[in-house]
Amino acid sequence: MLKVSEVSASYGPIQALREVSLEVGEGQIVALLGANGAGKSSTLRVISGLLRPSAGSVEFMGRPIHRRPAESIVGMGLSHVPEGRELFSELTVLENLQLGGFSRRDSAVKGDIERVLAYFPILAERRKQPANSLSGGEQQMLAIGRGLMARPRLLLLDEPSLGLAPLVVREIFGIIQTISREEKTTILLVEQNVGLALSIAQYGYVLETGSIVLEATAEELKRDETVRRSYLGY
Amino acid sequence: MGFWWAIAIAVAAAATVRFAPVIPRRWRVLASLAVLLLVVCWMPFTVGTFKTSQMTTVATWGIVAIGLNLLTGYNGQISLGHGAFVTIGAYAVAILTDSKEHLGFVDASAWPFWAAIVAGGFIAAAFGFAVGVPALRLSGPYLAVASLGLVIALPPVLAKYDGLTGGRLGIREPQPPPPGFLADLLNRDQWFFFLALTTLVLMALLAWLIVRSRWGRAFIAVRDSEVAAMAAGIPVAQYKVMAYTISAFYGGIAGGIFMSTIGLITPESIGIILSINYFTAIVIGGLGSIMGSIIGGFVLVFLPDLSTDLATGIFGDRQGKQLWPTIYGAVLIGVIILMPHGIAGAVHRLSRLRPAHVAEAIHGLPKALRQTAERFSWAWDIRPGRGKGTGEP
Amino acid sequence: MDVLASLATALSSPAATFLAADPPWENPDLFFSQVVAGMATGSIYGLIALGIVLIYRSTDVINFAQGEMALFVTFVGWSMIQADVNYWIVFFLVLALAGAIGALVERTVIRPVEGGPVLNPVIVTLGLFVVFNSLTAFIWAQGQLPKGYPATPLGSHLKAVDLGFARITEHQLMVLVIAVIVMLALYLLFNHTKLGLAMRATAQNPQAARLMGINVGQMLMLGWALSAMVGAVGGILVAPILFLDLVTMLRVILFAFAAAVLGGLDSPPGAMVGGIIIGIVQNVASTYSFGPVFFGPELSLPVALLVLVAILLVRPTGLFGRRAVRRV
Repeated sequence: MLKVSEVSASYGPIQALREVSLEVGEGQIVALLGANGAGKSSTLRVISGLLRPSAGSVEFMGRPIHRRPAESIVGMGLSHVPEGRELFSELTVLENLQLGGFSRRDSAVKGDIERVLAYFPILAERRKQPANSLSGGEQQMLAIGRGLMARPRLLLLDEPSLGLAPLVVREIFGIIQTISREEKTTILLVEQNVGLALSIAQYGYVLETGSIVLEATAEELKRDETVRRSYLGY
Repeated sequence: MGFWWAIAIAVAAAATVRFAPVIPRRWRVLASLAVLLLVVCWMPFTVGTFKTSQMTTVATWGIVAIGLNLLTGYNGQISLGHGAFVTIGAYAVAILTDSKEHLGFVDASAWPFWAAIVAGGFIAAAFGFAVGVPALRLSGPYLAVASLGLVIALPPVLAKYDGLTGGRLGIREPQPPPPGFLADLLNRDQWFFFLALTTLVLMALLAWLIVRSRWGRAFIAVRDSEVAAMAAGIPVAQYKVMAYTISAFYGGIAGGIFMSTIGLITPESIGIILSINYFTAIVIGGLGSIMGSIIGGFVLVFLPDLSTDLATGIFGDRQGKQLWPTIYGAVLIGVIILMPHGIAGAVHRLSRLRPAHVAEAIHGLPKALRQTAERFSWAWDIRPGRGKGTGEP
Repeated sequence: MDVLASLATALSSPAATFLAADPPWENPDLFFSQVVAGMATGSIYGLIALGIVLIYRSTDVINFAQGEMALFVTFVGWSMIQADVNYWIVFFLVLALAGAIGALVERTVIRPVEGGPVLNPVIVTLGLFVVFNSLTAFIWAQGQLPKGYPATPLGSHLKAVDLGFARITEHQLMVLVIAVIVMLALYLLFNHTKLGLAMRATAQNPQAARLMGINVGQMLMLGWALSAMVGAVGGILVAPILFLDLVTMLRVILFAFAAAVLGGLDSPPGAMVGGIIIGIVQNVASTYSFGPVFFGPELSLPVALLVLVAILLVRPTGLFGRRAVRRV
């Protein structure tokens, strides 16, 4: 479904990605792992069109998207839930969700709001509240819900566990798994919490200073020496 | 010798010295400034009285600009109303050097000019302090509008209390004559120029010392992040008020020079437009740069003339004379778009060019041209509904 | 000195000194008329201020050229009126032109400076101020100035209308009506349409907006277009009162800025409220000449500015502005 080939990208003089290649197959949950600053978020930003790659290509459902502006990519079925949530803080929960469905031309949007709220019942209670009045966990749920509103074939999740309490994180990851199952959404998950990521993913890539250093199935990664020592702590 | 030729020689000489391998690196900047100064000192003797008096104005506004840059460029506070401090300084000098005893309740004899100018600076600084304290509460556009209010409100106050200020007609004073040993060498305009220039150099030196000192570093820290500065233990409020006070001092000194070289101050002498132009000057010249402030002063004085020349050149004499502000405005817009960090910023970037950079730029030219064409494709791409442009916004 | 003399006069005969006209309790009709008339003038300030706020909210830029852009298109309207085009057709054509100019300005000269140093857009709008003013002078100042501009066909600015408790001109009534319509239209746009939601989203978080599929560039252009259109309405409404001259908008823009700042630069209703407050205070103060009574009418401007600064010190982001939260 998604094919990233030899992508390089930089922020001014700083090179963030060096010839990164990865693939995500339909229906999978694929994890993109690595330490802080390894280039995980940058990879997602290249895919969603926020960052122009200096080399390489990105193909989504067979079509090249690396030259397209970000606003045109959502409509193709690719939704990015950015790092730090990036909600519209003064708009209400409902309005944030409505904006998630902005790119859709069909009329099922209203119904979808209810479906999304069904995944996150606590948001349903707060639907008229501004986004900045929500707790961290609720905000993350809203961000994911907003991403779902676009009825994406592929969902990019950037560090959903960031800054959240472990219990909340567990809850959210459970919901992510449910979404993958029920909506048949393919998910590319960027995470620093390697253990958690590998518990729901089928395949994984490890990034270090802008390059892929390891790729394998989740099982293999969990058993791998370096991964265990550097990221899992045992 | 044509004025612009002289300027060109000055700049070229300074640039040559700046990059001449012959001179040891440590002395290059100083040497290039010395060369620049030398040529500038020579100019009043060759370019005629009108251009000399314009250069005097450049030096005077340069002092204001340096002070304003300390406040805005180094400390991050906006002031559109600095003309008020210039006015205050000018009035102070006018009143203090007045032999007719404007200060009705004090039996004072006239002060010598240099003392009056310094006093004017301190009086303006006092006002700066008074403004700087409430300014702590405001920031950004709110501060800008409030500061504009200062320069709008001052003229009616000055006009009203005419016992002290001479009302709407202002005060007219004889200008200081050149000291004895120079009297034979310089005519009036040349004397005024050197008076202004000397003051400018002194004030620039002072600014350089401030910027390099703890104060300067504190100013910059406050500008970049007040919260971080506070966390680092810097008393933010103190430094912000200090910046305002110092910049007002500069304005006052400049006002004193203005009074000395022009001989007349009225409530409208400086005006709202000029006050806003001081701000424009430092942004165009380069924020956070002393040289940039002087360049800004230069642009401020000469751009109208240049715009008129350009306008009459393009549109002919009659229409040109009416359209020159359009050219002026267009040039301002063009300069700031092309040089986002001002002229000084652009020069700084240019000076750091290495042959490798140039080679890279040339290599990337075809791609850059294609990207530019893509960005402007909206001009000829009128397909409705689709997102316009293919590049990043 | 003047201060002591004024004080002496004031203390000797209060009412006659304080008020230049019958006090409100003796002549309520005059008072309310002045208040309503002040609301009308204030609405015009509010409209221009609204334009300033719309741009500030969406792009963090203060458009110093707001008044001159409005002046330019109003002059275009004048030319069309001279050619005997119907008033309302001219009205909407001028609005369309203003919108186009606003969008064009954003795309060509504002966009390049939006990402860079924050003071650069100020220079651009100052430059635009000069450009628009001089273009207006060049095109229309060949003939005679000032030029007259008609009031709306629905209300002459010479005939009075009796509201019962107040008396104002028909034109002033039209100003109030149109101001309300504009506010209503903008409210509906921003709060009940998809487009308005997109514009609000873009103003808060442009990058997230892109991820929603919103074309941020188009939203920015739209914001500037709307602002220019609102400013144009202000220009058309003020022209019959102040007459079209090169300095017409200069007086208005100062008060409009004060109104925008007073109301809070990110609050559209604040802009209108600020404008109305300034309009009312201006009218009532000049009618009754109270306020700066100890300082004389020449100081009404400084005193007014002092009051504005005082209000700002109490509420540093205006009456309705969002308090800037310092995020560490």
